[in-house]
Amino acid sequence: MKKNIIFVLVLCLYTVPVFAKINIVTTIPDFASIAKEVGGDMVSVKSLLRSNQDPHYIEPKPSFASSMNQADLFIVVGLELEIGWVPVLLTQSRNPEIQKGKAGYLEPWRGIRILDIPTGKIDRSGGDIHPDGNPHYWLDPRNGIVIAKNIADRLSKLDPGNATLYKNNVVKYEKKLKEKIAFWQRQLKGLKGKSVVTHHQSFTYFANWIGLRVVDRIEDKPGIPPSASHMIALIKHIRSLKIPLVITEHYYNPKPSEKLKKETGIAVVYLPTSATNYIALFDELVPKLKGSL
Amino acid sequence: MMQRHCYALMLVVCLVFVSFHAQATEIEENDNTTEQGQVLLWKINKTGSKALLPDISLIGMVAGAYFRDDPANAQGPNPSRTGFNFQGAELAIQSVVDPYIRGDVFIHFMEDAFEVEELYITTLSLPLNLQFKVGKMRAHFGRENLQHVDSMSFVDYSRLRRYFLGNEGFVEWGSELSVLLPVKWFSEITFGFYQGMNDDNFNSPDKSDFAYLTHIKNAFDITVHTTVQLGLSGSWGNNGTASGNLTQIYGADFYVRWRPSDRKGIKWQTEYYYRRLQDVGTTAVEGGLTSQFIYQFAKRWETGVRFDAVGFPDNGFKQYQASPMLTFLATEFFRLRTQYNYLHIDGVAKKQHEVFLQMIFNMGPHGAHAF
Repeated sequence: MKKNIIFVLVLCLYTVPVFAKINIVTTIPDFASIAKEVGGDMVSVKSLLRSNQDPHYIEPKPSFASSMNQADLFIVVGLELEIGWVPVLLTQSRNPEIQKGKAGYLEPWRGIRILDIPTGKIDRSGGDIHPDGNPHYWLDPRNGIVIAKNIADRLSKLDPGNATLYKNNVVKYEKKLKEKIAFWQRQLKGLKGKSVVTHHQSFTYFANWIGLRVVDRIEDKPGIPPSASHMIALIKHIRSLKIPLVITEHYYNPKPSEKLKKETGIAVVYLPTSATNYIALFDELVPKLKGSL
Repeated sequence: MMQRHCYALMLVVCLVFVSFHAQATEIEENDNTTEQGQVLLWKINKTGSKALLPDISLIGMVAGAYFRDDPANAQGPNPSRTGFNFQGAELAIQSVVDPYIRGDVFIHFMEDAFEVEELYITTLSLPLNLQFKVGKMRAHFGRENLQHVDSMSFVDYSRLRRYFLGNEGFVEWGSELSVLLPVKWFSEITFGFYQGMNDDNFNSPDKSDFAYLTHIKNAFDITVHTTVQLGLSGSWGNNGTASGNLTQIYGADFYVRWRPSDRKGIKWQTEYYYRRLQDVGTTAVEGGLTSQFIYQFAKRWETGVRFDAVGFPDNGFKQYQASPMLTFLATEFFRLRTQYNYLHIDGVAKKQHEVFLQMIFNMGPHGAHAF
């Protein structure tokens, strides 16, 4: 009798409720925000990272593996952005449904034009390069629509009974996002063609969207702090082209940007690359950028 | 004998699970189309069979060393002589094999030889949060024993690890079954069943003598920036000094990680080992502690100190070591480290002084290390 009770208790611990929501775990909070819009009440979402963390350099905390263990759908940026920490977590999660290639694993960039794909021989003399291209694709809000559609497609596959709901939610979200995109574009209209310097390549997609010209970078090579000689060359470049603005990701060391400001008088703006609400991210980015140029 | 039968039964059950599950699970197909049925794939993927090649990395470790007195014995991957030391080149070949397992192989090249340091498969699809690992592996004992030289914060292994687990560490052919418990925090229990080849503890000539292990790990995020990890380990097996003589080692590990940004952080790792080793006519009971504190003060710089104390309780003599270090992490793939060791051994008049300058480089993809 005692053995039977223990068996039932153990079984209960492992049993998933039949009417449970689809459990979505994302690496970045922006994807969690989009997934919530698409999934509505049918999903619960959790982001492993906070909006102020650099997704390149994350330690694979055990709690991440626990969260992934419970996930029905794991959404990652992909393009090797999380290669330094996600692979080990996938193994530790013991969750066969979210392994790469399974329906529970999603890199939602399908349909997005990937930028900065390196050509020719690739090696690390060029810094910490991403061989598959620039992974910061969510920073073009038009790509947010594609991401939402990809998430909806995958949710429909995992939960066909609510496919219509997911499709309707995407339509609503697309409408809302398109209205906001039109508004943001009006706000930033005057910035088209302006030259800027960025710290890392995070804002490539953002600049591509609004027509900003990224003429130089603080990081001469991605992931490598700038050398003194590069900073001298950059100061000359800023002075000669009269570049008005440096855009720095808010989690990067502000010292190089401040040095450029001190030496050349260039304006510096610190911008987020991530937020717990995808639309709120651009609601913050757009006026900050507009106000600094 | 009963215990051995239980472990053997556990092994067979796991293998049946793996094979049964491999047959039962269908491989999901990739969906390459959009809702309009058109392929919209702008990105150009690696083509053909190249996309299926495993991740291959080579990690080279070289150290310059000064010893007041050069060590007398082989030191494994630790520096062993004044002058240049080749700590080894580790060739890592890693890949998911199929939907059911992944494979990891680490071949360690030394100056005049090479050996398979680790070679194991890990299941990816067992039910009930179980995971099975089989091959040659670092036994899941404590925390430091799982770390390769390249993923450590110091040039050499701690005195504790070297004294209790040997200069090569506790590496065995065998299998491990682990389970992730369905609780809100990370809680994992591991059972190990090994050949028993560790010279310092389990080197029994009897072919039916194996070594066994149990490890419990719990980890908690106590704040958004701070994680605490607690572990308990126990390993036992015949040691070969005489028929039925046992070695029992128990360990407790404690790790705190505070990392508010990628430019600042603290790692504090402490382990205690306790060993009871039966020999002919006597039983040695020994213990020891290692504790290391690492402070990252800039994106590419960290400093720290490690204290080792062996002989609590003692077996006739005590050892103490203090090791300050400074590391420059040029990139994720190249680092330079300098370290000083002060070693005191009871009964040895001369104190040992050691100074190292180490270079580690990694050619290949990122090597993701466990937390």
